[in-house]
Amino acid sequence: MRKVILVTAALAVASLGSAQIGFAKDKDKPKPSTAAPEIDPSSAMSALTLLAGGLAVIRARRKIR
Amino acid sequence: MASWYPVRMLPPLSLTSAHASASPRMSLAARAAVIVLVLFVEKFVLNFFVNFDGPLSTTRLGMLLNAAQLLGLRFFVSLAALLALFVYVSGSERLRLLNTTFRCVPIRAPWLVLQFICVVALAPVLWFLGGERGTLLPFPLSVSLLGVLGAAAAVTLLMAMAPWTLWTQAVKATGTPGSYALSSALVATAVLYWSQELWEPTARVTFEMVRHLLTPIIPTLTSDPITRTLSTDNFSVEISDICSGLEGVGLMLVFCCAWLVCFRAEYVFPRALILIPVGVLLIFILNAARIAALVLIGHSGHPAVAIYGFHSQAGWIAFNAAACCIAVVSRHIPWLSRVPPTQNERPVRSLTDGRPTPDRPATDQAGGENRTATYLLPLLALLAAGMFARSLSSGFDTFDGFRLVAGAAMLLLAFRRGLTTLSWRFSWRGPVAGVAVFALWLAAGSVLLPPKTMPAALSAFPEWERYYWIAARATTSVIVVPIAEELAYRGYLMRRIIAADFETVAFAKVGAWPLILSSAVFGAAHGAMWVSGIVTGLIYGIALVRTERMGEAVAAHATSNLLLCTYVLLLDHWELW
Repeated sequence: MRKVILVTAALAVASLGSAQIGFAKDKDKPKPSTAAPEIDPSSAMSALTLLAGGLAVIRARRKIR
Repeated sequence: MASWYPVRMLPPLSLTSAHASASPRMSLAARAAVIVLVLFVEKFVLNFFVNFDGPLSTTRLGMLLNAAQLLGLRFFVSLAALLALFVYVSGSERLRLLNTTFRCVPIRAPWLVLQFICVVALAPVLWFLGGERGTLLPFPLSVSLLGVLGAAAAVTLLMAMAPWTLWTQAVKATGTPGSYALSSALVATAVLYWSQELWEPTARVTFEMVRHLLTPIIPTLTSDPITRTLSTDNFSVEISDICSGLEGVGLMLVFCCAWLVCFRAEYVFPRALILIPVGVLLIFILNAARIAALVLIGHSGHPAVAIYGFHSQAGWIAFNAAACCIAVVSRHIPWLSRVPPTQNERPVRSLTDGRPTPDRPATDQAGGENRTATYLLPLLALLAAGMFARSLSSGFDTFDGFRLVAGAAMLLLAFRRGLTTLSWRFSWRGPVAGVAVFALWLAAGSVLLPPKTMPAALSAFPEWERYYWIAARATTSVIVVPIAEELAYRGYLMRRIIAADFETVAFAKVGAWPLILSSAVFGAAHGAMWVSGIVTGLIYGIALVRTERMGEAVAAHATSNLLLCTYVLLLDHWELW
């Protein structure tokens, strides 16, 4: 039960976070002079592959120590 | 299982599990996925019939309907994701049994036809909704009809996929996790609606942080809090809502929660929950530092690098750095982590094409090395160097040579660590597969990619620099990339899907699903050409599985890349590079 409650809390926050990304802004504003969006969708796949691979290496390193 | 399913409904269910395995139909999970997919596609298509600027944005009922569909979509997306995760985490035995029962039930075509009729009937109702395209029914009646037809479409789809009794049993079987998922989705949707108000105040906080960071460094910095603009003598940045840092915060929330859920056994709860606010704070600070660095780069006379290169990469670099930092540091803090560093010793193996080599003692073979790193680091080095090079570019990958240096260095290291145990021989099959892939990419590229000639920035290079750049790109593409990608996607991922100790999995034993999944990941990394990427991954994977030789897949990959490279350079079709 304790685990389920913890997971519930964690996933509620996770879904909130993921939905936050998906529905970033309902109405667009005029573009500023030099906009610097934090997350560039066109680089998403390579960045996430890098992260997933990096984490896999970190976990494997941990296992063999 | 008998208690799970009424005896009177047994004709299709008199099939035993043995029969089910002999003639397997879709499981409960697969049917749920199909339902979600069908509903998503139908909603996507029906959206084309709706005029969102009509009464949906002017009348009270219309706005209510519009808000309901927006929030409803968010609710159902959250519910589907949460339910899948909760059910997976809880590992319910009842659902596992029910999964088998579902495999005995056929898809019911008459209900599918009814569902299709409902969806088709929805189209004219949506088209005439509001009356600006003519009148079918008064607006309130149209809305009511919309509700009835929508509900009918959903119910008939459920009935098509399985009898109603089975669905009620499935709902009951989800039990407590189901109710948790439902309440979490409700809360998440409500909070999400409210959180839209967070963008502006968060951007103001970020603006103040960046201003405080830069003021000591650039004394001439001027700031306008109304427009949230920071200006130097020759560069200006407006910290708009999308720069506020909330996107990174969202990503970090997802990462921290997923990390804690996946590795919950290794952390002390509730202490470990502190990682969530720590991660959020870290990424928020890094976002402010990112914008400050952006202004500094622009101010120092490189506005194009700041705008085109740095800004598109720095957010991801910061997120990856923060996520890896959380993952590594949290596991080294005894207050948070249950696992002492010396536990989890893993037997070390070394294999030839996935097979043990009994003639060599295990300790001599890998020597306790991180075999995952051996397989993955070349690709990771390529990706990291690519991101770094792009962050320094001003629209053109001037420093593409970094990829060659980083990738080649990691490949050399990987070979020194024992990749010679894989079979690198190849026959005619590999190059032939490569030619087929080349033809596929030409065909797909002609449809999907707009033609591009040599980039103007490259043409403007001095001649020797241009040749050097092309030679470095060609060497990376034909030699480094094929080996690095085949090691990562086929050598590691395809076998890792089967077993944690992936090197014990013989390539010949790899089934269809690992092949398809690893190909899907490979395809996803190829942007607009993702479909061709998946097919390409399948071709390389089959070449490897059939021959059990890594060299075969690498030869296929290198051949297709060599042909593409030649095609690009000879015929000036740079869209394929």
